[in-house]
Order: sequence, then structure tokens, then C-alpha cells
Amino acid sequence: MKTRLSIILVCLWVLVSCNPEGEIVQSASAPRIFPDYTGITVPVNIAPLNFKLEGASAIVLDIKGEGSYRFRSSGKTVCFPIRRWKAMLEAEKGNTLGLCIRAKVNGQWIAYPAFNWEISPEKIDSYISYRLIEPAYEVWNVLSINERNVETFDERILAANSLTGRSCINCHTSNRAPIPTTFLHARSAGGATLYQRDGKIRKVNTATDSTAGAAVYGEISQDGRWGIFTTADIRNGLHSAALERFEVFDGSSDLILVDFENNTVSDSPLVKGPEFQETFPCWSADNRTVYFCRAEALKQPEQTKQMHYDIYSMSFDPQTGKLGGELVKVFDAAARGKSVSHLKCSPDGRKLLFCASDYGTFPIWHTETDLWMLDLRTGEVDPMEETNGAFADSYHCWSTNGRWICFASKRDDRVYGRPYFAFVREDGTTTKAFVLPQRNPDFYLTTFKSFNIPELYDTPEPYDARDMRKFYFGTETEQMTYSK
Amino acid sequence: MSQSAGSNTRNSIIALLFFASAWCCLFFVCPFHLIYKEQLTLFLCDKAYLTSLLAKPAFAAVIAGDFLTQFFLYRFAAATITVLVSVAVWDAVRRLWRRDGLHNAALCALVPAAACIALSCHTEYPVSMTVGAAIAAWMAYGCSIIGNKALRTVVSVAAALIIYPVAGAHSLLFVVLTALHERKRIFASVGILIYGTAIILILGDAYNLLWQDALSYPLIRGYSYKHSLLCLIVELAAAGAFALGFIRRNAVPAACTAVLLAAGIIYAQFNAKEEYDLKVSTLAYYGKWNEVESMGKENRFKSQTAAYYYNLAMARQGRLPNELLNVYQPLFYGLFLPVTMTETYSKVLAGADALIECGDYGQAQHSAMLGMTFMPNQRSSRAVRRLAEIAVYNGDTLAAGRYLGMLGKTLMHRSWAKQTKALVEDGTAVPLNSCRDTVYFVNDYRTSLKNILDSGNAPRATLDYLLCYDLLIKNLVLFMQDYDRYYLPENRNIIPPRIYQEALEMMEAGPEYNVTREVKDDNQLFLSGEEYKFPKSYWYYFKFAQPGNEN
Repeated sequence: MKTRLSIILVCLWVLVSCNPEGEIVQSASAPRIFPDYTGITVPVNIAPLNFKLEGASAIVLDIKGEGSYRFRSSGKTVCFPIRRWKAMLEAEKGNTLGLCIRAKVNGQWIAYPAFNWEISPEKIDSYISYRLIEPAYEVWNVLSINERNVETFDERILAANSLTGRSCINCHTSNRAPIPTTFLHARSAGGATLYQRDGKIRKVNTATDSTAGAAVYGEISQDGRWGIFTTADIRNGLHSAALERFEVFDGSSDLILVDFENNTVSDSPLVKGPEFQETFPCWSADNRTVYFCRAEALKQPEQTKQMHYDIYSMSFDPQTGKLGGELVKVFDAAARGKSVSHLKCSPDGRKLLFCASDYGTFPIWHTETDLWMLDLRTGEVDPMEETNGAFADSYHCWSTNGRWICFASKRDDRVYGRPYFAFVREDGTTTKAFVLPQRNPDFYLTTFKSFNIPELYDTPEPYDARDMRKFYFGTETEQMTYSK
Repeated sequence: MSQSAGSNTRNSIIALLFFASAWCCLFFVCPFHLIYKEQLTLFLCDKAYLTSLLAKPAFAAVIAGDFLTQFFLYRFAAATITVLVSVAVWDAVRRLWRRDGLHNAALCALVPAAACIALSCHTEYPVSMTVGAAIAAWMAYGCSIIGNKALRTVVSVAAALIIYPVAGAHSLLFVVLTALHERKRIFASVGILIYGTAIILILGDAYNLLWQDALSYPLIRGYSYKHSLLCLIVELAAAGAFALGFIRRNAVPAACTAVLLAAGIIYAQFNAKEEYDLKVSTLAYYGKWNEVESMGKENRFKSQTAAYYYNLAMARQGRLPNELLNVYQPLFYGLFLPVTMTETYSKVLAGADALIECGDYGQAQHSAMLGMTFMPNQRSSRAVRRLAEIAVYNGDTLAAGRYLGMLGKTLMHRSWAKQTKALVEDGTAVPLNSCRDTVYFVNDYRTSLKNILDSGNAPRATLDYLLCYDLLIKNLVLFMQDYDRYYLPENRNIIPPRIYQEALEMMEAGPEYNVTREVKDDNQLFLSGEEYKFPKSYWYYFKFAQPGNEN
């Protein structure tokens, strides 16, 4: 008798606990989930978009597309089992999913208005690298460049300055070729640019007596031979106003062309000299044009707020390795009261994505910085209102297929950058952005690290932090020479 | 080998006395070295944070150690927890060595425990290190009670593999204790010693640690703790005490060794001036300004930190110019402390305080952020509180919410965070920064203070700091400029503070500056060679003060 009673009680309990439908109140407002994953387009290969709903003690999530899916949580966080998640995205590729959240808040079940996810069949690159660093102005202590698989939550360290004498390591950049060439800079005594091609890492010093300094911001050509870089005397200052923090500006800046095969550095009179400052160069898709930012040099920091950089271009002949032709003003940012930085050309060569700030050259500290997209054929510019957040969207990159962009955004708290993704539609417009998913969404709220310079690529780096340590300390630095 | 009940009781009493003495030492001699540990950490009761620790070595030791460190806010708790964790080490080692038949095991086990306590006297030596030692000692004891030799060897080998991720560098204590326990099986003993040490180095490499870091983690190398491998003295002490227990069977050598070892390490670790700095910094942090004032007045170590906080205490009362030269002044470092990685923790975390008092929230924010960046784990409860306060003063509710949200996940700061959050949300906390935006170089204090004064919303301290800064850097031209622009218009009919009069007299200021007859006469005396009569005058400072080494 007792056993029967127990079985009946257990069955009743299971039935009750499986059915949250009791008394449900309909909420008029959208669920305030963190991260904000409402109304977004996601790639079919993205990792589970785990989220939390503050105050909830249980959540039932119903997802409807071609099929129906239900996920339950006994707490405030919804963590999708990765296999079910992958199967769902694969089955719903190209579909729109409707998500309905019901949550138990203070003992009361609440049903929230549904929201959608568009599942794009266009894949995003499988890997993203970023630098993890405290947003501590001009100095650093412990930092690393990590590589994250965006399809899972796997992350590994590519370079850690705890293994390289506390040097500053930065600007990990890939040319996104089928067999990618990548580089990163290490700054300290003995530091250099660490250049990886075909799995082999070289340590090169790009500073020469005839140029202003070592390579800073830049890109490598698709064939991996050429690098176009800024060389700059970078300085910094503080702001006195309440919500401004920091200003980084160049005492001087020029462009240099690096030939990684012949170990030479060259430049052009077009982009050299104290009258103008040139920075943030990038290659066109065919590598025959260099786009860059250019402004008249003014006294800084006194006139930093009058520094407005426009977009210019010049030609490049890969046969002769010469920069030249004429300077062409591609976009007059100053006329719009803006200053541009961080140019990135789309893989199809049609678009130029850049940061637009009110002035100056360092977008990450400018809360007003937005991403803008320039159509290189028509000259029209899209202020990307659907994608931009409230504060500092910057340091963007394209995915290999040109259908996704990734960038660092401080939209959530004005201080800490996080990697966001947005989809590029056929017509070139972009969607609402969403943050890189984490296994536990609270991760973003408990870390003091800022995600800096996110970079997408499709092939994992062939080295890790220990390899990097060996190269850093065990490899001779190749000194580049200046070539006129 | 059994010991008599009498000697057991005697040994227990000696051990008790030893730990009581250690507690007194920690409580009375170096309490602020311990209290400051809390300010150098930020433990969050949060799943995401705790999960992030799993990816690093010593996760259990760090979680337990950092959790306990929260209570170091209280002097009594700090000394008690430090001693109790060391007692845990002692008890495990004592039990293990009694099983080994060691004579006076309770006293010999005091030696590694004494090393743990003594190492804890350094601000930077984390509680998690001692917790790691306790975990290692108890695991060694746990393995020792397995009677079957083959099984014991297998378990020890497995334990050596997992203990580094759990306990960190002091997993070497497990290796040493186990090797000593297996001393009669020489191959097993040497094998576990080599294998266990190799495992630490291999796992350290897998965790991306250099070998020196692997052997000291979770103690972080490269900060004020100059000799991180000194932590391995716990293992050396254990090996030495074990040998001593067999060679000299009476109790005296073991007890003396424990006391001498503890005293020696404390002597090497403890820094009286640092304790003084940490004390004045902590008192200021908790708003005990009367005690700060009396410490700064005395300033027996000629400490920059004490001078800095004394000046701040005076500025809060509007007495900065009156008292400036009545105490030791390390040039302008008594007014502002530039934050650099090589500075001591007391200075690194103090840098923002005077800037906040001056309403210089831009530089204060910069200073507090740098302060936190320069912590061994880039986390500091004190720096986060400062950052939250500054964000509130700046009206930056988003950033304030971020920091307050974090503090809300701590045990000790959550009520403060809750109160502050309520002030922000109900609009009671009004933004104080109304400066027009200009860009200036970091540590350009004059430009920054002048910006604040120009905003028309400057706190009282701003002008005092600006004028005193001009005086302390001995730039009377700048002093006159700032005096004319900011002080004189509002104070034409009052007699300025004596130090200002002395500077004005040096600049031969006119009658509108209200320099008194007395000051003019004194200046004549000073110039006539009777300088010794005015050791606290600005004239004396201007003529004789030289930049020097604080220490």
C-alpha cells in the first residue's frame, strides 16, 4: 500500500512539475534577458546563445520554427545542450524561429512577448581571436591574446605576456586567405612583429633608421608577402569631462610598406612627412589599392579636437612593390563633422567598413564612435543604425565570406569592450548585433577584462602560447632594412 | 614507537603556546599586513567567477583562500584565520609523523606550520598558499593510512597528479611528506619525489606558467614579493624537521627550530615601515581621520603615504596651507601619488583619494583603474569601491552599476553596494563633475586642477592643493599666477595663511596681498642669516628641501 501511494505521489509530483501552465500572467514588455539576444540574426554554426533572465527561478523556453523545441531551466539561466542546439540550428537553417519565454518570477509564472531569431545559412568564420586586457588607459600588466572557437566554447591562449617578459602584445591580425598569414606585435626590449606564414613563425623588427618606428596598425596582403602599416609616435592624455576618459593621439604618423619576403621596409612621399598624419591603412580586396586615414597635422593635445581624418586611397603595384599614383580622397569625413579610423575592406571589395568618431584617431575611447559602411561603387555611406550601440563600436573585421562582421563594443557599460557580431544582408545593410555567447552569460559581468581587437578567421592558428614563448625567446630577430 | 601521555600533553601545551604567540604576533605586530590582503583581492560568490577559477591551478586552494580572505577586513578574524589554517597544516603533519613513529611529532610538525605563519606576514602571500599547504598535508596523511603498500603507491601516484590543480605550489609538500613516509622503500620514495616534482613542472607548463611561477602559484611572481621561491621553505622545513625528529629525540630542538624559523622568516618578511603605511592607508579608507592625523603628524618613518594622508586630512578641514610645513613633506609626493607598477600597494591604492577630494575625477578614475591593474590578480575590492564611487560622482550610472553589481556579489561589501546603488537609482547621488572638456597629459596636476577651478564647481580642497603644489615644486611664478587668478579675487580682505604670505613676500608682493608686518620682519631675519629660527617656514623649505629617497 505504502509503495503504491509513493508511486502515485511521485507521478503527481512529476505531472505538476512538468506543467508550469498553472496561473500565467502575460507580460506586456519584452523579457529583459542578458545578453540581449532578442530579434537577431545568427549564423547556423554559432555556439549556444545561453542567456539569463534576472529574478527568474525557473524558465520554460518554447522555440517554434519548422519544428518545435522546448528548453527548461530550473534557475535564471538558460543553457542549451550543445548537441540539441546544433541539431536545431541545422534543421532550421534559413528559417525564422519564434521564441516564447515563460518564467517563474517571485512565485508567479509570467509569459513574455515572443521574439525572433533568423537562422542564417551563411556561416561565420569558426575562430575569433581577441586580446584580453584591463581597460587601464596607457599601461598594462597581464594580458593575453586568446583564440575562441565560436561554434563551441573552447578557448585557448595564443600568446600570454606572462610568458614573454610582461611585454605588450597586440594587433593579432589575419589576412583570412585559405592558408592564412597572420601577425602580432610584441613591444618591449627584444620585442618585434611575430609573423606567421605556412605554419612558420618569424620574428622581425620593422623599425629602421629611415622610418619613424616599428609597424603598428596594418594588414597583410592575400599572398602573405606585403604588409601595409602605420608607424606612429603614439601619445595619450586624459579628458576633464565626466564621461570622457582617455585620448590617444599621434605625435606623428606615416605609412610603411613591408616586404616580408625580402625583409625590406619602404614608403612613399605621398604618405610621409610632418604636414599630414596617415594611419589605419588597409588593402583593397585585390590588393592593388591601399585605403588609409589622413588628416592635417595639428598641435596636440591642444588641437586634438580639431583633428579630423578623411579616407584616402593610393595605388599599389605588387609586381614592383611600389606605392604610388595619386592620392584620392575617398570619403570626406571632416565635411560631416566626423573623423574616421580603422578601415577594413570587404572581401568582395565593394564596401569599406570604418569607425566614425567626432574627432581624433583612437575610436575605442570615444563613446560616440559608430561603425559606418561606405559603398565604394556609389560613395554612399550607411551609418548602420540597426547595428551600432550606445557606446564605442570599433575594431571591426569581416568574416571570410563577407557576410558577417565582428567588432568590439562598449555598449553595455561604457567601460569594457565585448565582441559583437552582425549579419551583412545581400543589400549591404547590417542587422542588430549580438555578443559572443559564453557558457555562463554572467561571465561578462564578473570579469575585469576588456575584449580588444576581435579578429575572425577560419583556420586555427598553428601555434599556442608555449610555442610563442619559444619563438619569442629562442628565435633571432630579423632586422628589416629600408628600401627607397 | 609510542610516546607517554605526559610528553603528549607537554607537546600539546607547547604547540598551543606557540600558536597563541603566533596569533598575538599577527594581531599586535603586523595586523595591517593581513588586513590589506582583503583589499588586494575581490572574491565573488558567483558561479561564473568560481567556474573561471577552475581553469587555473590551485582552484580549490584559491576558492577557499580567497573566500577566507574576505574576513580579513576584521583584525581579529585575520589573525585567527591565518593561525587556524596553519593549525590545519600542523595537525595533518603531526598525525602523519606520529604514524611514522617520529619522536615529538607534535613539536616537529610545528616547524612547517611556523614557516606557513611567518610567510603569511607578507601582504602579498595569499591565504590560498597556506590553504594549499593544508590540502597537501591532509592528502599526504590520507594516503599514509592506506595499509596496502601497492594500493598506497597507486593512490599516491594518482594524488600527485591531481593535487597541483587543486592545491598549487604547495602540492610539493604532499610530495615531500609522502616521500618521507615511504623512506623505507627507497625506490618508491625517490620515485614519488621525482615524479611529483616533474608533475608540478609539467602541469605548470600546461597551465602556461614558467617553472618559477609553477613552483609559487597562487603566489604571483613579479610584484613586491621579491623571492617567490621562498615559499618552498615550507617543504624544506618539513624535511628538516622530520630529520631532526629522528636525530635528536628530545623536544627542545624541534620547538626551538620552529620558533627560530618563524622569527627568522618574519624578520625577513616583515617591514615595519610598510606596516605603518598600510595602517595609515587603511585608517583613511575607513574614514578614521583623527587617527590618520595623529599618525601623519608624527610620521616616524618619514613615509610618503603618511604625509599624503595627513595632507588629505588637513585639506578636508580646510587647514592644508596652515599645516603643510609643520610636518614632513616629501616634495609634492605628499600631495599626489603617481601610480606606477613599482610602487608599494599602500601608494598604488591611495593614489585616487586626494584626487577625489579635489574633485579631479578624471585622474582619480585613471589612478584607481591603474591601481587595480597593478594588483597581482588585477582585482581589488578597494579599487572597485573607488571606481564605483568615481563613476557615481561622474554621473556614469552604467559603469557604477557594473562595479556595484560586482560588489553586490561579495560578502563584505554588498551592503555598501546596495546602499550606493539605491542612492544612484533614487537620484540622491548627484553628478559632481561639471568640467568643460579638455585634453591634458596624465599626471599634469596643475592643468587638471585649474580645469576644475574654472568649472566654478570646485571643492574647497582644489585650490589649496593647487597653490600648495605650486609651492612644493618651488615654482613661485606659477604660484603667483594661480594665486592672482583663483585665490585673490575671493579673498581680498582677509589675511592669507602664513605659508602663502611667506611665498608672497619672496615675490615682493604689493600691499593688496595683505602680507603682515610680522611675516615681513621674519623674512628679514631669515635673510640676515637666522634661518635656524624658521625651520617650518616656506623660506626654509625653498632653500633647503631637496628631492631624496623616501627610504
